[in-house]
Formats: sequence, structure tokens, C-alpha cells
Amino acid sequence: MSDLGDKGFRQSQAFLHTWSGLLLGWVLFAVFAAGTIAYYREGLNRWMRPELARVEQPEKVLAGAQRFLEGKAPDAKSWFITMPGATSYGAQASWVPQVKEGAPRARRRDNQATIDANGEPAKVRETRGGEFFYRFHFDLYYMPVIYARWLVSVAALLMLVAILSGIVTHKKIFRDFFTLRRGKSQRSWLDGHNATAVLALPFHLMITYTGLVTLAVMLLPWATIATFPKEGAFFEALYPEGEAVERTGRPAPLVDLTAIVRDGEARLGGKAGYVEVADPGDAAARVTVIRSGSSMLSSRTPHITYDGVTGKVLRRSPETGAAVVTAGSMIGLHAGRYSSDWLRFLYFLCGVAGSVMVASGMVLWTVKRREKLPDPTRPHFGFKLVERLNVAAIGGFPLGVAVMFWANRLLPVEMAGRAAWEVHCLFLAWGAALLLSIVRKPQHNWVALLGLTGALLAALPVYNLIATERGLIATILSGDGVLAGIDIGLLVFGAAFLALARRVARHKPAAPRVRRKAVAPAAVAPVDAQLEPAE
Amino acid sequence: MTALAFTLATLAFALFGLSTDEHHRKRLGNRPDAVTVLRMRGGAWAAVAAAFPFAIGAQGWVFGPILWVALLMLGAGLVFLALNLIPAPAGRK
Repeated sequence: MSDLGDKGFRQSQAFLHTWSGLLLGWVLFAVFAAGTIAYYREGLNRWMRPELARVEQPEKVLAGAQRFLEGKAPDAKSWFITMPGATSYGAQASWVPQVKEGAPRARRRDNQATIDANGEPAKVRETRGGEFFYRFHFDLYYMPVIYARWLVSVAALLMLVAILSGIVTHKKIFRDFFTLRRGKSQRSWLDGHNATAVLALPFHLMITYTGLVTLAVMLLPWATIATFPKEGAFFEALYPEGEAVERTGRPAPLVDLTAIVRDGEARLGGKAGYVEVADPGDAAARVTVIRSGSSMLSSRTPHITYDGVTGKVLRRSPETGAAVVTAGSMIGLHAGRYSSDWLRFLYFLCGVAGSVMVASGMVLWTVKRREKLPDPTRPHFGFKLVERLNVAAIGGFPLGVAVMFWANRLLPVEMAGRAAWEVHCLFLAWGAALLLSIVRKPQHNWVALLGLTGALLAALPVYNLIATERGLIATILSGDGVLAGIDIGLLVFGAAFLALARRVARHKPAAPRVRRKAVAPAAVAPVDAQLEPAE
Repeated sequence: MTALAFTLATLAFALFGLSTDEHHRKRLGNRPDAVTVLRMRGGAWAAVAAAFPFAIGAQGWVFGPILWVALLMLGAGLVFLALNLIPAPAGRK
């Protein structure tokens, strides 16, 4: 702060940092936390289907999927199989029936079955598994996807503003990087906020920026509209398909998919992620093998198409242009699908740091203002609103997740709409937290919500141990690192939430210090309070 | 290769951390003078740079840079926790 001009600029950045962080911070927290969980969506897909064994021989599962589809939908318009892998519970086999005149177009999701590790159609509880967290973190729930994506985009944009203005305002964060003053209320909150922000700063910048890139076509549509005036032309250019083939009506047996996939993996240079079959059982059948995103950075993976009867290669996806590779790499970097176990764990830790950064920033807003309130026993409306929304959002969302995991275990398997009800349970618990935060004082709520969340999370592995075949001991003994890791993670998070609850319960607010000068309400203007918070 | 890069990254942040007044006093017993601080920071930056080729060697030009950044964050996090949570030797408060 050498001169007034610099002061003015930094101060304006501080203002920006505070309010851009606060405005959609609650949405951002949920998005960040869900996105963090989604790094383990494949693991959760398995964890939430505890009746299914781990896939040991992917080829057996693929053969089983082909057998199943040939019996179930021999004359479908197309089949779609998600390739089983070492991290999956089996294959998802879905089919689209032939379009009938006048009938609505069927979607892939309407006709699908789970093929288990033995290649047999499995009876499995209906659940969205980890996919829910993945979708929720950009589509939200209970609202049209397009509005949700705009809302999430605006939140991400504000986050980018908050990060950049935070760096500018608090230059000291880099100098004070190694400082953690514990047990000193506001200072401790600030140090914690700084540490989680700076430690994972490359991640925060990357994830926010690339997150916006994933939605760039929606946010900045003008270039695409100008270049591709015809609707759909853009996607045709982006994902070029071979020419559609007419169904001949002459039946012909489909080639063995396992052999095709083996060949496709060799030609594509990596594991296959999906197999699509057009017009199975017809002389014009086509098989497309799509490379998985787990072995390359770009999320726009290449594919290769075979003749479904002779097994000859018909076409390969063309080399993609630089722009597509750039966008694909950014999305790949964001989603971390390529990452090895250790890198994935780091992604997860960074996500946790980010969630803590958002949460601590929101709490800091109230901590800093509480000391400056003219009468701390009767705060003004804005303060009360933020304080209580913090409880509802930051305390409520983790509770909702814990409740959803329990719903996954306890809802009856034959229940209609079970998968949807698991999700409803999350929001019911979250709504309950909101109600609670309206009627009760915040401090009690923090203790209750954090404590309950901790107890629920920590009890899950215990339940798994007793009621499922895949408890912690069994998974460790069989070397099933994914499920064991999730159970251990639940224990760690349970303990952490309980410790936090204990900490809050024991916290005695410091006796109100004598103010150096009588603070007139007008002087509590946020800008004033913002000056050099790192001091 | 990865282990070497990780060691260098952690070393770098240990130097950065110990070059601060507070931690230097707590761990090494005295306040660092300006020259010591400069040397430690210089060494730290050198370690940061030296970790890069090993990360590239471990994972290639596509994933190597990502690994490098990831290891720097990991090293910084571990040093941060160690400096703040491991009690300092008695008498050096």
C-alpha cells in the first residue's frame, strides 16, 4: 500500500472479493462439494450397489451383454453398452427400439439392464449411484437443466472473480502462506481460508476456468451461431458420423463383440469405453467402438466403426482439429477421468480444500461482521440471513448426502421410483436443515447438523460390515481398494464432522470487547470493514 | 522419477516455509537474516524448477506438467501441516 491509488484499487478488489464470493456462495458450495464427490463416481456406482461383485473378466461381461441384448432386443434400432472395467460393477446394456409411426421417440435410459460380473442380467437395487453427484454439480435438480446450467455458470464466473480479486487484495496470502494461528477466532478462520485457497490455488483456478469452458458453447453461443446457422450443424461438425445406413431387412448374425472390441482397443491405442451397435441382426449392422476417457487427457475420444457382419473396419473418426483438442483437454483436465488412483486422490483432496475454502469464506463473512455489530445480540437482517443460510447450506448439504447414502442402504429394493426417492431423501434432509435454521439459533444448529452428519457418515461402514457382503474387512482382504477406500473415507469424514461439532459446541464466544470508539451504524458499511482483512 | 520429483517439491516448500521469520525461529532457534532468507528462497525456487524435468520424465509431456503441479501442491500441503501441527522443540516458542 504505497499510495492512495493503490489503496483504492486494492480496496475495490476487496469489495469485489467479498460480494462476488457471497452472492452465490451457497450454490457454489453445493456444486463444489458434489463435484468433489463425483471424482469417485465410478467407485460410488459400485458402493451403492453392494450386491454386485467386482468385475474380474471384462470380456465375460461384454459377451454376457451381447447375449442378453440378442435375447431381449434382437431387432432394436440400436444397442449401447458401457464397457465393464476393473473399477466397474458390470456393464450397462441399453437399447433403443425401432421407431414406430406416431409413437414418441424412445430414449436410451428407458430400456436398460445391468449385466453383472458373471455376464448375467443382475437383480440390483435401483439407484443413480455416483452419477447423481456428477449430474447435480452442473444440472442441479428439480429444475430445467438449462436454467440450472446458467445458474451454475454464473456461480462459477463469480468464483473466478472471487479467486482473482482475492489474489489481488490479499497479496499477503503468499507471504503468510505457512502461518496458521490456531484458537484465535477471526485470525484462525482467515488463516484456514487462506491456506485452503493458496495450497490448492492451481487447482481452484484450473477447475473454475475449465468448468466454464465445459459450458462455453452455451455461455457464448454467437461464434457457433454465426458459423453454423443451421440448427444441429455444429454438433454434426463436432461429432462427425458416418453416413446413416438403411436397414436392409435381411437378417444376418452379428459378429462377436469381444473380438471387435479387442481389435478396436489395439487400433485406438487405449481401453474402450463404449460400444454401440446400429441395426443389430441386420445385414447392414454397424459396430462402433469408442475409446474410454480414462487413458487420454482429451475427453473427446476417438472411435472406430466396423461392419457388424463381416467385422471389417469401415471408418475411423477423423483427426480432430486443434480447437476441439483444446476444449477436450480442458474438459478432461476438469473431470480427471484420465487420472491414476493417486492423482485422483489429489484431485479429491483439492476439491475438499476448495469446498472448505468456500465454506470458510462464507463463515468468515459473519465472523468478521459479528465483532463490528452495534449490538451483537440483535444483529440486522442481512447478517441474520447470511448466518442462517450458512447453516442451512453448509451444514445441510453434507447431512443430505449422508442421508442419501443411508436411503441407498435402507429403502426397500422393490420400491417404485426407488432411485428418485434416494435423491428426494437428500433434499428432504437438506430442507429440514433449512427449516431448522429458520426456527433455531445458529450455534445449536451447527452442533446438531455437524454432529448428526458425522454420526451418520461414520455409522455407514459399520452397517456395511454387518449387513452387506462387502464390509471393510472383506474388501481389504480381497484387495478391493475402491470400496475399502470409500468406507475409510466415510469414517474419516464422519470423525472430522464429529470433531467439528465438538469444537463448535465448546466454543464460547469471546466476551464483547470494548470498542475503541462508538460505532455508528453508518460506519459499519462493508467497504470499511473490508480494508486489509489480512492484517 | 515421480518419487524424486515429489521429494524435490517437498524440499522446496520446506525451504519456503522455514525461510519465514516465525517458523525459522520456532524450528531453528533464531531469526534468519536477509542473506539466509535469500539463499533459502533461491534454493526453494531451484528445487521447484528441478522437479519439473523429473515429472516430465515420469509421465511425458501431456501428463507430466499436471503431475508437477500436483506434486507441488502435495508438497506444500504436507509442509504446511507439518510446520503447523508438529510441536516445535521445547524452549523455542
